[in-house]
This record gives sequence, C-alpha cells and structure tokens, in this order.
Amino acid sequence: MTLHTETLSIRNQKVQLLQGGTGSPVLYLHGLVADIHSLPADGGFTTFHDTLAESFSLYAPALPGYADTAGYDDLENIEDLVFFCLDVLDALNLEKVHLIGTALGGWVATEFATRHAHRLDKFVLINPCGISTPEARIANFFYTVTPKAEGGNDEVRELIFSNQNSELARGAVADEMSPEAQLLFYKAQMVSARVGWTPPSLYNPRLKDRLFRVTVPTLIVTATGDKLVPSALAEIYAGGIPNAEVTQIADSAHAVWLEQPHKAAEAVAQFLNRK
Amino acid sequence: MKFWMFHLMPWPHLPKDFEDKYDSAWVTCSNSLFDPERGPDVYRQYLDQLVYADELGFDGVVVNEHHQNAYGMMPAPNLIAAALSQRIKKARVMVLGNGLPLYDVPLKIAEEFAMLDNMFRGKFDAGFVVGGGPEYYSYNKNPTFARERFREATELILKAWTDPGPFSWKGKHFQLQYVNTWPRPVQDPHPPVWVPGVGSIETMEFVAEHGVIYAALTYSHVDAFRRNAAYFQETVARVGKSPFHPGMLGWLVPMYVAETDQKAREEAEEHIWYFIDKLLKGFAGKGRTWMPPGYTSLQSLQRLQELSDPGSGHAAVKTWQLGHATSWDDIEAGGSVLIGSPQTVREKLLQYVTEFKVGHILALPQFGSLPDHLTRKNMELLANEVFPYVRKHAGAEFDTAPQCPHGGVEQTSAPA
Repeated sequence: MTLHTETLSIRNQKVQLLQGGTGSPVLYLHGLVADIHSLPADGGFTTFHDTLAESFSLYAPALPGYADTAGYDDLENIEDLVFFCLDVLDALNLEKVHLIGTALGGWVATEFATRHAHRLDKFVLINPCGISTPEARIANFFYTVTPKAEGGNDEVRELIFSNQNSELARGAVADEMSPEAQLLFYKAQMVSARVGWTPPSLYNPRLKDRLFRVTVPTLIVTATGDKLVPSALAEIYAGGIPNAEVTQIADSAHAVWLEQPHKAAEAVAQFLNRK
Repeated sequence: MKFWMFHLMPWPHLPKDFEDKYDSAWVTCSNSLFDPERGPDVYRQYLDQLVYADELGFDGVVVNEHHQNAYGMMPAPNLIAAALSQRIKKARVMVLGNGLPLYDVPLKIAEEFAMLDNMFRGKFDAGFVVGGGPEYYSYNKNPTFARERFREATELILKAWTDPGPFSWKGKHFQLQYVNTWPRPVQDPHPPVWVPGVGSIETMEFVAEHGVIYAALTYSHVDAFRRNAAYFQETVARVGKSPFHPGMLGWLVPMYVAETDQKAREEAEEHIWYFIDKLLKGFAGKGRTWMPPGYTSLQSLQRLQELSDPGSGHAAVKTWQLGHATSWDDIEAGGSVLIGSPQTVREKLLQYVTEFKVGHILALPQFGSLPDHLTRKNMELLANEVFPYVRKHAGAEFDTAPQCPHGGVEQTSAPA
C-alpha cells in the first residue's frame, strides 16, 4: 500500500487521513460503505487509491464519524460535510485541488463544487449520490443494510457488487465480521444515515438546478452494472455541468473502485492529466 | 405491588402460512391482510377486555403505540385511552407510550396526556418512548437523532407541565416561541412518567437521572432481565435522585393461567406460537430486524460485542429472545412467558418479583390469537388466584409508594 495513515487535528478534533504519492494534489472523498475508512486498512482494498497515488498527491480524509475522525455528534446534514472539506483543505494548506468523490463522497463533492468551484482544478464523480429522479432512483440503501436476525450480509453485497459470492465481495462485506470490521461498517452506516436518511434519502432535490455552478472540467464515471446509483443519472450531471463528460466502465457494479480498480484509476488519471 | 393489564391489540386473523410467505409483520406487512369486516369486532373485544380488567380489580391497564404492523394495532393509543376514560371506573390507565421523536411538535403529546389526566381525574400514567426501530422506517424519521430528540422532547414536556406558561423553548430539535399547554395536568406535579427500555445503559441512566419509572419491555431471556434489573438498581444508586424502590421498575411479561399446567399449555400453545412465529417476525426474532443504522449507539454496539464475545460467556443469555424459540422447551427455559396452573405461575412470579425487586407487573394476558373466552378466563385466574398471593407474600418493601421526584408518587385520592 502506497498510502499511509495520518492524523490531523482541526480545531482540536481528530481527522484521520490516508495520504501518499506525489504530483498535483487530489482530495478524495470516500463512499458510503466498502471503501477506505469503512474497511480495515490492511485488507488490500486500496488498489484504486494506490494507483492514483502513483501520479498524484492523494489526500483521502475519513468523513466525520467514519474510522477515527471525530465530529459525529455535531453532524446534522450534508452541509456540515461541505464545511468539513473546507476545513481539511485549509488545514492541508491546499488552495486548489482536483476533487474526486465516490457515492456519498460524490454527493458531498458536488455540494462543495456548486459552492466553491474556485478551489477546484478538475472534478471527478464516481457513481455519486446526491441526485435521484423518478426515472433513475437511488436504491433503498438503508433498507438493504438493515441486518437480518439470521445474520449475513448477502443483500448488501448484492447491492454493491456484481457477484455477491465473489471472493472480493465476501472479503469486503463478510457475513461474519471481526469486531473491528463490524464497528467500521456500523460507523459508515451511522454517518450515511445521519446525513442521508432524512427524506429524501441520499439526495438533495435542489442540487440538480445548481449544477451550472460547477464551472471546472468534470468527469463522471459510472459503472454499467451499478444497482445502487443508476448509471443513467450520469446524464443528469453531464446535462447540468457545463463542461462535463461521461465514462462508463463495464463489468462492474457500484463498487467500481474495488471491482475495476485499474480501469477506473486509469480513466480518472487520464482525465486529470489531460492538458 | 401493582398489577397491570397490558394489551397490544394484535391482529388475530393472519393467514396460517403467514410466516412462510412474509418476511415481517412490520413495516412492509401488507395492510391488505387487515379485514375491515372483522376490524370493528376485534377493537370492541379488546376494549371490553380492558374494561373487564377494571371490573376484576387489576390496578391498571396499559395501552401502547405501534405503527404499520399486525403486532399492535394502536397507532393512536391516546384514542383508546380516551375511549376507556368513559368506561373504566377504578383502575388507572397508562399509555406506554407515545413515541416522542416521531413527532415534530412534542407539545401535542403534552396536551393530549394533560387532557387524559383531566378525563381520568388524575388516574392516568404517561409513558414516553423512543419508538421501536420499525417506527423509524414507517414514519421515515432519522434514526440517528432518535435518542437526542427523545431527551429533548421529554425535557420539553416535563417543563410544559410544571413551569407556568407561556415560555419559549429553543432547543436543537424543537423551537417554540410559545409553550403554554392548555389544559394542565390534574396530578401534581404531573402524571407518573414511565420510560421503557430493553437494557441500554443510556436509557437506564436517563430514567434514573429523571426519577421516572423504568419499564422493561422485552421478551428476552429471564436471565437477561435478571442482569438488567440488577444493573438498573446499580444505576439508580449511582445517578438517581432518590434510593431505589421496587416501584421504580416494571416488567412486561406474557402470562397464561389455567386449571392445570397441562391445560394451560393445551389452551395457550397455538396462540403463543402465533405471537412468536407471526407477530414477532421481523421485530424480536426471526426475519429482518428493523434496526435502522444509528438507532443503536456505538456505545451500546460495543457493549453488545463484549457480551456476544464467546469468551465472555454471556452470548446465549444476551441474544436469546422469545422470537427465537423453536420448541416448547425454549419457551419454558427462556422464562419470558409465565404459564401453568395458578400455583405454578404464582410461585414463579413471586420468585421473580422478590428477586428482581420489580414493583409493577405488566401482565400480558392476551397474546397472539388468544380468543376472548380464554383471555377472560386467564384474567380471572390471574386476578383471583395469582396476584393476591404475590401481593400478600412479596413483602413490605413492595407496598409503599416510590418517592420519585418526577411523578413516581402515586395519587391515592383523585379530585372528585
């Protein structure tokens, strides 16, 4: 793993961060579950992020409540996470970055980009939450993660992986987790629910009409087999953001950073490196 | 010692193969299974049973709030209480409770409970509940704020009942320029307040700090209740406003009494299985648990992890619930249903009462599809052959009223 764990202290609040690589600075905002900060750090789930760190200086903070980042109790809604990003950029002395957001992080990133586009070089969304339409609805995530008395996480795996029985899927979202993994998984669900449960679930109806404010070059990466965030939503983002393009990645469900880490990292790196 | 009749008002006409075809009796359990032709009789029968409890000399009756399920058909328990206010003569009536976090203006609950306290001339007990996990799906309320909203709403209602209005309330979850509840409660300072719990530390501390009554509402293994009762006593000793007294603790327990042990089982067994296999499905047993993310605090999850650690030896006790039972032996061993002859049940009950120091028995004499005639016979035997015996032998410490600063003192004479 190229990345290493750092701890920031922002106004006396602990912020956990994965960091590594050299090059232009990239701020990466992680997804709902099964991403860095909701999976054990030594589990071998960082190929996508490591690959990006070969070309960029990557900063991947754990959002408040995830992993060891403090601030869950004060968290109320998605707006708080936008301010969290401002705090992190300021603490790292980063005036301008490429911003990448995945799923929940994609929602935060889009809210950020509609307000603070001047802090961004380029903008990348990967299977982002934040927008949902009657034609292409974000799936009922909170129902799916509700545990069953008989145990097992097959429905969660089914929602975010192509094959819920694959070694990868079972490694990331096991039926029987260690207490440590269970805690990380539960924290991820808590924060997701804290900012995303309140109806509407995992999106902001006002966001679509604010996309015009994202004035930087934008790439929207979707996975054709995404059952959580329909890939058709990419067209909404592309239609609203003035300078946007869409890349589709085949043979992957929602967790594209795990299922196709090289293809996804390559698509993102190419876009960010383009003059 | 107080004996209450708790009623869930379950839907007793689910199809025989319900548990094979549906994953839950909650939230997603289709209301097409409700039959409007039978509904009126079901409500009438259940109301009559509560009135009969009064006639038999139960100290009180208890109704409760649940939404979108077949387990308990009282989405609006205050309506049931209002109906009872016109028919019940001696017994107290408790609503246990209203799900405070589910409502955007908790004053509605302060108002309705104050109305009921007037309508019952002070023979009314008020229950405040967080609401079960399923309610957060049914009402789509953010479960991660459940405990905060509960605490703030509780403080607000208690203040609305005790401080002269109007005053303003600027909380995190509720903001009101004018708090000025009309009517005021009859009881001084307000009706006894009950808060149910299933064993979480936070709830017990909250109860102890506020001097309200703790109701153990769980169908867990009796050993789990034993541990929770002990923990509650410790908690009261640690953070309580006054010393522990049995009147601070209530216990919900399904009970069935017949002439002999064998007859009790013959009469009740299929209805207990209806309760376990059908109504508890998806709530406290098999199926989807309806435990939304963030409803359980991290602290409680970590405690559960410790208890479930095979090395700790607690796993079986902690996690067993009546809903997990698959055999009659499971039910008997779990001890969360008291069933048998009057002698069997009263000895067991007396043992639990004295050991756990529980001053309020919230008996559930109607469960599942138990029909009216058996429910009434059960109630008669409880009232005549079980409760008097336990009351007599429980000891003096169970007789005096609890000295709770917040309404734990029972009103012996209501204004006429």
